[in-house]
Amino acid sequence: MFTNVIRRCFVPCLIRRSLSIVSNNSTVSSSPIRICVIGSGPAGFYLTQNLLKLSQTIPTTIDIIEKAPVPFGLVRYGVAPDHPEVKNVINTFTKIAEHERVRFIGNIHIGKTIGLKELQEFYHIIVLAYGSSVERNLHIPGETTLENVFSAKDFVGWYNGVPDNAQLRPQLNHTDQAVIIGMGNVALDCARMLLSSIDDLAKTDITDIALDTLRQSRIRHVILVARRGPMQVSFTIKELRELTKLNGVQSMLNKEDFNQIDQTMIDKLERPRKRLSELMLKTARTKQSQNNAERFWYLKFWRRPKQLNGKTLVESVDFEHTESVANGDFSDPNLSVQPNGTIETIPCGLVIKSIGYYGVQIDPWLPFDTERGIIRNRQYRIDDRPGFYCTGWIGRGARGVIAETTTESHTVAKRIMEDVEQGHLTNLHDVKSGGDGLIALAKSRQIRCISYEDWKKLDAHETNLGNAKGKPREKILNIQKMLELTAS
Amino acid sequence: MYRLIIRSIFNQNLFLKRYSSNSNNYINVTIIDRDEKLINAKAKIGSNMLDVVLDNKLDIDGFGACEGTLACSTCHVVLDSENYKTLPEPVEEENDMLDLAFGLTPTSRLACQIIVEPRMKDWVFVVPKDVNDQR
Repeated sequence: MFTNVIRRCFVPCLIRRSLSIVSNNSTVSSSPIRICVIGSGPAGFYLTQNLLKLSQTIPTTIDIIEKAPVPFGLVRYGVAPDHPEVKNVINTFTKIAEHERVRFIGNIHIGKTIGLKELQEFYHIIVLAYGSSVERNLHIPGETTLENVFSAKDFVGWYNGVPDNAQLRPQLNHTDQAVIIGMGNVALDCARMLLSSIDDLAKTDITDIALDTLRQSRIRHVILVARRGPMQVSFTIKELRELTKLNGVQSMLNKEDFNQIDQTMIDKLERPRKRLSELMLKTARTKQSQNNAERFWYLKFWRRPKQLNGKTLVESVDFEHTESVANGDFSDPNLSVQPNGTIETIPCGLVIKSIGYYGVQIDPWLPFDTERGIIRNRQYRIDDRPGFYCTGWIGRGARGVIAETTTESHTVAKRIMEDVEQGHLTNLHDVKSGGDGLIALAKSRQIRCISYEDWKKLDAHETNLGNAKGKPREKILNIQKMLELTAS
Repeated sequence: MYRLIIRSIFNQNLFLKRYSSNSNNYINVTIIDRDEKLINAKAKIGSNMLDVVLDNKLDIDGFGACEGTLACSTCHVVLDSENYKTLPEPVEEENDMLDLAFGLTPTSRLACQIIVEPRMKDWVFVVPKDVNDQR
């Protein structure tokens, strides 16, 4: 307890003293350190929360910049409509956004309307937290020429109200079979949207357009196909369990796919992978008897898509069967596979590709690893760019749920404050204008910045619109309309 | 004479105060936060341990982000093994979220799923560090 007392008095003292060494003046500079966070999803908000906590004795301001007119990133546009509890984090984010040292600035596209380098005029520290918005492609014949073939990113964007995906128009009433390529959580989300009862979906914030289309859907069989085996699936247990418990929906897992898994193999696994494998095993081995089942989902392993077939709409997918390479370990998460010569054709009227995402290089000045789709960084410090950091998917790759990003943000915030306290940043004594300067520059380029208060007006409008129909909200799909509603 | 009256009123108040803190509604528990600080908290019987943290206005970063809906692992707490064994088994959905908890132990639970009972008087709940401090 005594050490606690010392820690609480001594450390802030040390910080103040080291700051005055950094600044040229003998007293601590009263001009605050300006921090800019680019991206207002979980990465951006949790980092801000942690920075606030660690900078209570150092004058700092934190601006969260967002490309869209609305905050929250994938929490708004990625999390499935039937997962409202995951969106509870928005309440935490709201408290952060309304903190006196935080300012949300929406509708600013860094790398397009304002250059990354230009931000240095207004901010001492810049953190990139803008996620991974580009989907991976298969690069196989038919992928870009046939209709009703979508990336999961676009399909999710469509049912979640992303303005760019409003005109997607998937056709779901001419076919009873859909193929989803990939076995991650996004693939499961898409499967669940196609299989859930309309009555359940009608009470969520799914867009009305999607609801109407799904209401007329004739899809009864959803087949998820993966390149490798059950021990390499990317989805996590909560999402899988949900699918096994869906009302009126039957799981159709093949027992034979799990024959190679024995108790020895299971016992060697880390807890999350162990429990996931056990659940799949149980689902495959239990005799399913949902008599009222009208819809079915399947997991098919060891199949790599070779080409998509059809005249105008997709009609089937050719898969080549795969097998583990020589000496491959069945339970190795990084297992490599090779084709074994057999081809199988699976008929379907809808194809959704869900094979991962990567990030974009928003500015050529940003050191970027194009192959991995992440910013080049060492321990969250961007290579050769003092004062620049990254957090979230854009720094580590597009994997993991919000919890992992939250955990990571503690470390990133600590790293940044370490650099501040140890004098690694040489510009901290410069007086910078932060958000005031940025907004003035944006105005001069005819960009209207959206404040958090502006967002709350749009938020209230969407909520009222939705409540009238028994939904938590009805998302506005048109950017112009969004901007108008933030001004009213 | 007045002194007698005042003293008896004073004693009454003290008696009432003592009575209400031992009243049937609340028990005392100990919460150890991430800085290893011991906090005495009043836990309302029938509420859950996340409620207790919130009601006592404890300043624990990010605790209970999903507000008790089993959609995260931020209310992760560690109990001593004797007390842990006496709790009802976690439902599968709680275990699914515990899978994601940093620094999971064999006696870990999610606070939002622990319902306060009178027998939990003086129990200790440890909020574990949520990240590897690499300094």
